[in-house]
Amino acid sequence: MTFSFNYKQTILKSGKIIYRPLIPITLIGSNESLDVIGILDSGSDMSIIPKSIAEVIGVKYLGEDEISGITGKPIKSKQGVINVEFGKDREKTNFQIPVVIPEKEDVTIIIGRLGFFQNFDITFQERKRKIHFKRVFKNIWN
Amino acid sequence: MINNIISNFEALDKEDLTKFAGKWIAVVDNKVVVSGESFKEIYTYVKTNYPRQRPLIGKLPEPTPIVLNSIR
Repeated sequence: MTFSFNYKQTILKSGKIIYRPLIPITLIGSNESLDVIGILDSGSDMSIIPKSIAEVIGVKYLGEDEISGITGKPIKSKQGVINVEFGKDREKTNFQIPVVIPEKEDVTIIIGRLGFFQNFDITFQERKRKIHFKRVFKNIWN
Repeated sequence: MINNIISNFEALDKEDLTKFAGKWIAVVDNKVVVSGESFKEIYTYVKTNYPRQRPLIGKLPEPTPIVLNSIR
């Protein structure tokens, strides 16, 4: 059960071309579900969604905490759990991921490790600019 | 309503995303139909103008390199 997505190209201000591992994922809240684009980030502990999206889909908040972003400065954030649907064609699967919702509104959606990466063996194939996913079925006894 | 998240996403392979770097976009029927500065603006636009379609929405990363920096 494998599928892949192409990196997406952009040109930096410096003129260099860069390819980024973006993925399509459906966020499912208590109000509605929304198809979104996120950056798959193996360096991020948690997934991040903006407050405005959390309000639209309906996220049940579990608490508050601080996260350290790319500036290294802690940012106050709410925490919650949402359902997501991810995959391609017949290989779609549903599971829950914890999310943080920063007070700062203008954030790109980030799909981090917790709740997401344990569902797949993920290969970042830089040379071919592709991300490959192989579904992993959790051992319920562990 | 057909769930076309994959075709909307793969349609971005044919788009020049450079002009959308750092902006919110919405993809409907495999085309970028709107870009803007905020999710609310984009969401309101597609709900008003494409009420029967299911959009793919996202904020594309800035046109500057992204690095993780926990140095304090």
